[in-house]
Order: sequence, then C-alpha cells, then structure tokens
Amino acid sequence: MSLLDLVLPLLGAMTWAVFVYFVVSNGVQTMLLVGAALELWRHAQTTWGERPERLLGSTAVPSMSVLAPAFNEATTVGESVRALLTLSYPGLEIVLVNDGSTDGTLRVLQDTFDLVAIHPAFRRRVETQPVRALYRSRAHPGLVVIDKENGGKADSLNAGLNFATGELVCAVDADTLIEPDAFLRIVRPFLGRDDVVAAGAPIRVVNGSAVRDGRVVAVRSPRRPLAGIQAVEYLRAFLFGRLGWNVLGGNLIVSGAFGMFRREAMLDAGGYLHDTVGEDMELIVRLRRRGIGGTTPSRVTFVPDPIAWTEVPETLAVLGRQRDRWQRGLADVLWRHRGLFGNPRAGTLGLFVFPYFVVVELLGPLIEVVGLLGLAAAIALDAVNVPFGVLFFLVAYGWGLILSLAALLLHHATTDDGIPASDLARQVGWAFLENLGYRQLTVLWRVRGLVRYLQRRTDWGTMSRRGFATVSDPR
Amino acid sequence: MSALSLLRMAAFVEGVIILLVLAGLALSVHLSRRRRRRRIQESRLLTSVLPTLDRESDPRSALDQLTALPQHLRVPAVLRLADQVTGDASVLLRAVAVEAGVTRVAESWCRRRRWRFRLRGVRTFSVLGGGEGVVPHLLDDRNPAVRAEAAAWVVTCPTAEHVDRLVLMLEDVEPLCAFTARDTLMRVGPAAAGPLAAYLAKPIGSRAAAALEVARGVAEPRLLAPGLLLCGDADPAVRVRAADLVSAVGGEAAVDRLTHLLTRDDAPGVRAAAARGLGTMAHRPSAPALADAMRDRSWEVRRAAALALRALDAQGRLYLRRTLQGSDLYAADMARQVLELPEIGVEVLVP
Repeated sequence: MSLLDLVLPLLGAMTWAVFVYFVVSNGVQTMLLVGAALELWRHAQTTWGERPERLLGSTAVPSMSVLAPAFNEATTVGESVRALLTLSYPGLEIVLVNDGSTDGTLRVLQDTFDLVAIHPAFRRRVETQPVRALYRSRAHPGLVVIDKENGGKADSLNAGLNFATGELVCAVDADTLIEPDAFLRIVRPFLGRDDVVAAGAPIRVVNGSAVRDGRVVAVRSPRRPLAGIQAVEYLRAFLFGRLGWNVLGGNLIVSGAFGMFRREAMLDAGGYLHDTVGEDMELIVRLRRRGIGGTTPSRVTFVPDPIAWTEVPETLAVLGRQRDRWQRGLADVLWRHRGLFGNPRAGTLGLFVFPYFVVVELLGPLIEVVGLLGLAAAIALDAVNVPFGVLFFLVAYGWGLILSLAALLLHHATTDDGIPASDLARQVGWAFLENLGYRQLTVLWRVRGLVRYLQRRTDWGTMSRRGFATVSDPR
Repeated sequence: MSALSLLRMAAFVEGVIILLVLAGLALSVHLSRRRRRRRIQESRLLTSVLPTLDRESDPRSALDQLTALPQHLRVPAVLRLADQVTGDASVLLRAVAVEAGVTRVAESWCRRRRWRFRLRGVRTFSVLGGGEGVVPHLLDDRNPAVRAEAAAWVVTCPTAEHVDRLVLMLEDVEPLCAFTARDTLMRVGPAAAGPLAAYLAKPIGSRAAAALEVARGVAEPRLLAPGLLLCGDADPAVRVRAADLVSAVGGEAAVDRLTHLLTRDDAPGVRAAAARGLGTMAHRPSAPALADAMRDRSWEVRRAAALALRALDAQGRLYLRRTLQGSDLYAADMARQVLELPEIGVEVLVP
C-alpha cells in the first residue's frame, strides 16, 4: 500500500468534514435569519404609529450619559461633540474623556465649548489612570470633559463610567455618527424589562453616503468594491449575528461603536478590562456570565431601528489589521471565559451560543483554510474530479450568498432608505463578489489574528479613515 | 445517489433560491417606491390640510382631502397631521377624523382579538384623543404593550377612575406598564394628587416607593401628609423617596421632619436625602444642622450636606468656610471641593 493510498481517503474524508462544517454553520445562520425575520416582524407591529419623541417630555425616563473617549482627535473632536449635543434625549449628559492626547484636543474643547474646571469629586469605583482635571461646559452644562493620563480606550471608558451620573450609559466611538432619535429608540428595552443590562443597535457603513453637519442626509451604497462588500457584510452581521440571537439564546456582542448599558451593572461587573483588544465583547460575556443562576440581571438585547454609522476601511492593509485585531479579541474573550463552553448551568449560552462562537467564529477560518487546501490537493491528486470540486465550491459558498441576499431582502423590505434601484443592484453585485476573493482574504487575516493571539500580540494597529467631511454628495 | 449528483441537486436548489430572493428584492424595490409615493401623498396632504385646520376655514375642505385617500391610508395620514397641530386645530382635526371614519376604524381595531390591532387602535386614540367607549377596558388588557399604550392614553382623558387605575398600574409586573403609568401620572399632574394621596395612605410598605417618586414629580400640598407619614417607614428606600417628596412640597412640617431624618436616621441614604431636601428648600435656619452633617461618617451625607450649604448662598458659604478651618479633615476636604465648584457645577448638582 503506497502513501497515496493512505492520503487519498483522508483527503476525501477531510473534504466532506469541511462540507459538514459549512452545512452546520450556514444552517445555524439560516436559523438566525429566520429568528431575525420574526424579530423584525414583531418590532414592526410594536412600533406601528409609535412616537419616540413622546419620551422627550417625560420626567420618568431613566437618565442617560454618553461616554465618548478621544485620543489625539483635535481635528475632529469639535464636530463630534457638536453632533453628540444635538442628539435627542431628555437631560442627556455627554462625558468626553480626553485620554492624554498630545495634539491639543483639550485646547480645542476648551476654546469651542467654554469649559470651566470643576473639582473632581466623584467615587472611583473602577480603577483608572489618574484624572488630571474635570471640566464642565458653560455653553452646554450637560457636557463634561475628563482630562486623564493616557490609558487606552477601556481605561477612558472606565474613567467616564466613574464620573457619569446617568442610570444608563452609552458607549460611542468618537467617529460614529448617531441618528438624532437613536437614544429614544435604543432605550425601549430598558423601559420594557428590568433584566436588560445592555442593548446594541445596527452599525451601518457610511462610505458613499452624503454627510452634512454630522448627519447622513442621503443613503447610498458605496461605489468602491471593498467598502461595498463590507456594507453587505455589516448588514448581514447585524441582522443575523445580533438580531437573530435575540431569539436564539441572546447576544454575546454589542458593538463598541454604539451600545447602551445599565451603569450599575457595568460598575458591579468592574467596568471594561484593560488587557484585552476585545473589551466590548469581554464586558458583554462577563455581564451575561454574572447572570448564570438567575440571581443577577444579565439580558443583552438588540434593537433594530436606532442607527449609527461608521466609516469602514477602504484599503486592504487597514482592513486586514482590523480583522486580525477582531479575531485576536474574539480568541482572547473566548479563552478567558472558556468555562462557559458546554456548561449546562449557563443554559443556551453555554450549550449553544458559546460553542457556536468557538466552532464557527473562532475556528471557522482554520477549518475553511484546511478545507480549501484539502479540496485543491484532492483535485490535484485526482482524489476528486474537477466538476465535483467546482460544485463543492459553488454549493458551499452558494448558501452564504443566499444568506447575504436574504439579509439585503430583509433590510429593504423593512426599511425605507430611499436608495435608488441602481444602488440596490450594486449591493447585489457586492454580495456576489464577496465570495470571490474577499471572503478568502478575510479568512487569511483571521487565521493571522489567531496566530498573533498565540504569539500574545496585543497591539491595535493603525486605523486610517478618510473622514466624514470628505464624503461627497452622490446626488 | 452519488456524491456528485447530490451536489448537483444542492446547486440546483440553491440556484432556484437565489432567483427567488432576487425576485423578492425586486419586489421590495417596487414596494419601497410605493411607500415613497405614499409619503409624498401624505406630505402634500399635510401642506394642504394644515392651513384649513383653524376656526375661520371650512373643515369640509380638510375632510374632502382626507376622504379622497384610500381607507387604509387615512389613519396614518391623520396621525401624521396630529403630530403637527395643537389647541383648536387638534380639536378640529379630531372632528374631521370622526367624519372621515378614522375613529370608527380605530374603535374596531380596539375590539379585535389580535393584540397588534388593539395596539394600533389605542395608539390612534392616544394621539387623537377620544375613544372613551373602547380604550378604558384596555387598561386591563392581557398584552403589556396594549396595556401600556392605554395608560399613555389616560393623558387625553384623566378622569378620577382612570387615574385610580393608573396608580394601581404602578405595581404592574411588566416594567413597561409601570413606567408608562408613572410617566402618565406625572404628565397628568394635579389630577393625580388625590388618588396618589389615597394610595399612599394605605399600608403598602415598600410598594410605596414608585408612587412616592411620582408624587414628588406632582408635588401637591395634598401629598404632604402621606409623605410625612412615610418618612417613618421601615424601608430606607421608602424613607429616601418620602424625604424627596416632602422637600418638593415644602412647609414647616417638612423642615421639621427632614431635620429629624438628617440627625436621627440610621440609613446614610436617608440622611443624604434629608440634607438634599433642606438645600432644595433653601431653608437657611437649617444651616447649623447641615454643617454638623458635614462631619457625618458617610461620604454621601457629607457631600449632600455640603452641596445643600452651597445652595444657601452667603450663609451656607460661611459655614463651609468655617468647616475648612475645622479639625475634621474629611469635612474640610468636602467643604473645599464644594467651595471650588463653579456656579455651573452647582446648578447641575443642585437642580
């Protein structure tokens, strides 16, 4: 018996094992799609004729603080804060944390918002880098600026958390654009249930759309392929990966770009961890883990209609660094909370949600690489014939394409962006293109992220953005 | 069946599904365009109907334009119109809505078996007003969203009976209903004082906390007596809220009770609430008691007492400066922190 006789059946078995993986992962995502469709229907029924602005006149609504960390953002911080100040919510408090910027961010804030120093009298319930000074704006009394030593994003959020006075806190990235009534919408689950500790909302891709004064005034599909494919990817991820989980055991991720939390729950959990690049997800998993046994509230939910916009990378290098970091963050969080895997005490979280994240989100890229290489080797060694290989590829990725198109359908059937048919056609094109190169590249970046996680790399990498001001009006 | 033919079949099925989804996308574009046309139609209606909703104009013109719309579009159109008008115009709009059959549709929705229709019905009446014949029984609906919306509707018709029901809804197991009841009672204002006072006078223990929060928002003299009584409740959370209530209502009896709580209560939260209350009332004779409270063992009480003194203007500042020189380092530190607060900080911390 030659070596080939041993390898060939092994390759065949491996190919089929990978196929089974595709069936399982796409099968779960199909379930999530159905769950998302049900949630959207229920949401549409509940919000028919609703007037979220009614809450503006309410004195019973929970108070809210926005935590916005800023590091060396002198050129954009004024515009970002102005956009936050225009958000609708009664008595909204904005806590901007200057994380030891060296480019004059604080000076810009002082000049623009007429800041006056106040004594830092607050309880430090979560340890942070030293706070140098606290300021309140004379022009906008709801704006507080914390000036502190540099400690990173998680440290800044913790400093903001110590000072914030709102019952609810909303963590936002300084470069996220939030729709004016988003807070009036995302607060709903906190009014409806006592056990909700965190709520997420969709993040959509702003590249290609027209932005005026920090607001998206015309929604358009990105014209560049890389941004366009990511736009479809974001739609799919937020519809299945978040909304669908509302039905199937709850969420494990609330985007750091826009998420709302009960402040007490965050403080009781100890705030954000400093030594991880996946601090957003880590906090959510910790919050959910504290709820095991039913003694502590721990529900994490997703609301489909408050919208926040973000700019996605338009170069492969930056995108690669982002995906690499996301994967390292995921690996770190799943390893830290590995006790949840298969834990029956954690219910669906331990028996279904967590294992799904480990097998599909964490190890998926490895399985996919092994599968593709195995298929290529099997074809080269004549273990499978070329038509079989091509069909295998088509079926495996075809299901993913169906899911992307279904996400587009669900989105357009339930929202009214007013995008032209040509833009929709472009989105369909991006969905087809995603499987031809882009998906394989992201798989490689994620594998690189796993390798770097094993090498204990904790850097964030440089993220360059074009900036909202440069986005042209497509009309 | 061989693996190849299995894959072929799977690929065929996927191809069919892809075509179906693409067809669905095309349909969604068509529906989206229809929705946009409808919105334009509604906007035109708004532009033309709004000027006719005043006493001088003939309401028939508005009615004609509304009835020209298909039946299923009339309710959303009227709801959009209702958002834009107040006072006499909203009374006229309601009359037009009755004539156009909108309220009849909403009434029939309120009687439907499916919760989503009942929700639409009661929401229509929440915006337009009316619905006295069908909405009140929805205050006891089995669906929490419907029950909460019916609670919000009470703003348009705050009879004693409805307000009584709202007060009971403060204890609803569904947080949404309890929140809406709280919100509506605060909006109703003085009309809620009688039922709230009667409710708080009952021995309801810690369940009084939610009603006390509302009572504080209403802050009517009738609520003082139950507030004073509940300042002696066994539950500290109730005492905190009762202290907030009596300071919001004010009066000599309130001052006496708050001073008693500040000096005698075991719970730091209650002592802090009492200090806060005396500051809110700007009761200058309480300055010595507040200065004593600056030496409290609880940070929360020291801070509340210092801020209350700051709110007493010159006299309070004098006591704060004296505390700066005192032997209690914690009190001196708190006095320094509060004296250094700029006016803007005080305005935010002592509303």
